[in-house]
Amino acid sequence: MTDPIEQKIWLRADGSLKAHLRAIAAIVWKDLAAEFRSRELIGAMLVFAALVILIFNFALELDISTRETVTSGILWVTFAFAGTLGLNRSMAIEKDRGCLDGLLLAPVDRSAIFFGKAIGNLFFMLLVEAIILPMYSVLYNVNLFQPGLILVILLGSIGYTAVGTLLAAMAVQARTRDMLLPILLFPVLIPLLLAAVKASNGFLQGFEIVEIMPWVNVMIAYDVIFIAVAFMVFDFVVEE
Amino acid sequence: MERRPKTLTVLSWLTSVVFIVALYLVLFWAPQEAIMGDVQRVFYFHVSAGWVGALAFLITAIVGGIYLARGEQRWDRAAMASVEIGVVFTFINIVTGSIWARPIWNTWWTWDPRLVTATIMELIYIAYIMLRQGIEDPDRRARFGAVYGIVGFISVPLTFLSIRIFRTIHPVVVGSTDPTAQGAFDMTANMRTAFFFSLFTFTLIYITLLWHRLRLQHKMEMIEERKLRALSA
Amino acid sequence: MMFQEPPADTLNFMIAGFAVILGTIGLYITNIIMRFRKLRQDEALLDEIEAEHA
Repeated sequence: MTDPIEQKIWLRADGSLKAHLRAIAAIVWKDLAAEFRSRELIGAMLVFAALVILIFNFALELDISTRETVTSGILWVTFAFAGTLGLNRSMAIEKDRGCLDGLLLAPVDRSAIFFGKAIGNLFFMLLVEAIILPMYSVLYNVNLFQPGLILVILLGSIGYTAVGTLLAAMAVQARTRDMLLPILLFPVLIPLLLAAVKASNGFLQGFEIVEIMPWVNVMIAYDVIFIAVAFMVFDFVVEE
Repeated sequence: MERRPKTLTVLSWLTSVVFIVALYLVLFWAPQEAIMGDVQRVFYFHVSAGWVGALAFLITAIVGGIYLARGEQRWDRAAMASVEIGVVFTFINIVTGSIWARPIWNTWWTWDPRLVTATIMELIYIAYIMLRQGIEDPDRRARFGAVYGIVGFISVPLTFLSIRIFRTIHPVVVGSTDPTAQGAFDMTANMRTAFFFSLFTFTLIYITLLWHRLRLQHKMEMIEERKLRALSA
Repeated sequence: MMFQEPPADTLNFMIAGFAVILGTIGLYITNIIMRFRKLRQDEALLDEIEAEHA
């Protein structure tokens, strides 16, 4: 076990909640540190997202009036596709470098691996979204910095990375690795994406809170349900 | 794995007879609907097929869960058998839904929550099959199938709910004001009989097909095993 | 209730619907039967091979 972070997990693992949290933190830190050194993931996701936005500009006639209704849809399609890049890459790195085996041997509950990877993925996704928002605002002269929208993006990203991390962990072990993740993920993600687009649209167009709340509730329900499910089944996905 | 058990043979014949009775009830015995005409007769089997699809996927999720808990191969076999049947009957549900919509709404597709949810469900279980096909190790294949079967099944009610909310807020212009009604009609007593008999018939078809498909799966696995042994001998 | 018009003539659609239902179920059953047959052929072959090795 050459990775110093893995060694830290081993040394400090003693079965307590503190050890659990430390393990999660160590895994998150490992991913962040590796990414800041190489910047492969973020770079790829950003370039991809920027290209998608540009393509939308040519694909759809975005005059002033349609722009307002279509913005939330474009944003979420962009996030959804860029997100799969990040998820795929993040899991492939674990498998290819064999880090996963080291983590599995550590006497920490497997769910710590799930939360560690998921939080890492969430962080990357939020980072990309944080850059896309101003980019889109500038290109299309739309003010996207509203607290409601930020909340929706947060809720949506949480659900996305929870389910995505679980499914990516499976997809990466199949022969058809890269093609499989979107096929597995998107149908299951539809309630979340639908609610996210509708809620975002509601906030951007200044609808009444009472109209937006059903969508926010769907997102919260989705997040809670799938974080719980992923937590329970992740063991079965990584065992050898 | 020997000769087909007698019970299965009897069941298969019974199911065939019941199906013919159902066909008669639906095509001739049930009254013609006053506004839509004959196409409404498709409705009986359309809903029954949808029911079998949903049942099949529920069973897949459940036996998948049991496999995760117990690790016994036969639960995984049941999951695979059930999924295939689910995909076939959900397909029937979607296509007959479309055929029924055409003369009534003058469109091949309505964004009706049930139809859309059925389509998404179909895509999930096609993805399920693709996931399994991409994994070599049988134990891992079974585990991953079980996990995705559960995740997929849980997402379906959420999908239905969110599309329902969507349709309530944005009712489609072509159609009735009630977003849940698709070609609604009142059922007379005879229609109700035909309807429930259809549901019963299709449930019987599901059980029969599942049994046959289970035997097929078992046989496939045994042949695979023998092939591996023969090759390494 | 008085209906002014007779029911719509949707017989063709009904036929299409039932064709899909019966056709799809029929195709699936055929597919299962074909797979069973192929497995029996494989079985016969394996019986031969195993007999040779014995």
